Amino acid sequence: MTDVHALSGAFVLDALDERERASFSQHMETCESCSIEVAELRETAARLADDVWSVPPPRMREAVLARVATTRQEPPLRSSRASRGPRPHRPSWRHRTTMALVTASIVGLASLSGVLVVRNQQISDERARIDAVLSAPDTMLRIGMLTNGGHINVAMSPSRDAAVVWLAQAQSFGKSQAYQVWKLDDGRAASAGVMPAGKGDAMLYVSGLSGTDAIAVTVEPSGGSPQPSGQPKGQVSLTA
Amino acid sequence: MERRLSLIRGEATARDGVDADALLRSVARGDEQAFTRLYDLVIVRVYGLVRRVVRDPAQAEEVTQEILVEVWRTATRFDPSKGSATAWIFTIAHRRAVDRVRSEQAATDRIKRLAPEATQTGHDEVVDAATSHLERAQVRRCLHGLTELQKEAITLAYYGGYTYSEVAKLLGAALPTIKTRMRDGLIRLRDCLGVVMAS
Repeated sequence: MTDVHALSGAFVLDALDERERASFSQHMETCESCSIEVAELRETAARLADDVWSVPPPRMREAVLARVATTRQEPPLRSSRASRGPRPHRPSWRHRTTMALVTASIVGLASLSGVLVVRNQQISDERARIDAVLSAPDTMLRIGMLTNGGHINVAMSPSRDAAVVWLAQAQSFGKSQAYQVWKLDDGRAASAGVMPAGKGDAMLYVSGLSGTDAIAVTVEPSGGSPQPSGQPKGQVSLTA
Repeated sequence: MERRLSLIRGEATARDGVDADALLRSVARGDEQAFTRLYDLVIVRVYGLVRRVVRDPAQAEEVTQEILVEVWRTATRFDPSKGSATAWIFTIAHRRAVDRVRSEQAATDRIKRLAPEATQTGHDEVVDAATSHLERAQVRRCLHGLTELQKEAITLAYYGGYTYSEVAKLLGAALPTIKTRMRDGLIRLRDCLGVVMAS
């Protein structure tokens, strides 16, 4: 009966009310062509998510993994059959770069939590400040490219008047150079901290953002400079 | 259904050199590392979709977490003969997002908050600069190939989380028309994207 059959599109889009949904599900059990159509339209609808990308707050990863570690999985359904043989699929390079970038920032954050293992009270305070920014309800993540590869991430919380800055996939140097982070106010630069020499994967807590319209990063002699000695390698606007 | 279905084309699962299907099957066996990799593979799209439907960032975050935990919990019920892992995950994700906005709408005392533009993450320039975004372009191109009514009906339902009767109201069209446009629009989209299930 074509009337129920015609609901496949709305069904796949979750656009049916509960009653219609139930009746269509029931119909599908006896209609093989409907099941195939629904399977195909589901694959199709899932592709609509290709066009909506949003980087979640980095804390989400840890939160989900923590819940997963304490959540029991359901037993398989009796009717479910194990798959046999490999299914054809095309290895894809298309999103590799993007995923690497996005993942790197998330992974970067997670692994930095490891870097920031509490060694003394000072570090512990820093960690608490960083956590406070990352878990603030108004924290937003902004990302800028670095001219020498990799990117700069700024997680900023207006309510806390603070940000956390870290680099991902940034080039590393010898011990003589370091990344230095700057607060820019109308072209004037004030140092917001220096990363450990040679490394770009540390996380810096930056407070006092009023008047700051951008965060920039330069490469300086290790220990930092009073003023940027060259053009920024990367910059993220806080006002745009 | 006795026939084994396999996806010939249009599979959006293989990313970053890993296959969501294989990962999800490992997850079903309790492999937490596989889950972490699967998380990294799909999270920006899952969160992006939920943000699009739910809009409120705090709620979107909550719903996204629920979805990922549900993926873990019910991975044992994923049946690869019925479709790809990606479609399975996004079916759960969309359903959860829609459930949230509908229960939200029922709670009349709540003030509907729209996410302000400023809370959008600034990743777009990175994503755009870093990817050839073939697949995104493909989805957009295929959406453009639909009639205006097909496109509106599909996007209002999928991204807006509306029921088809709400969509009909919004578009000033008859119910059977919208129902039909959703189906024939998706079919056209399917053909354009090259999604084929074969026995």
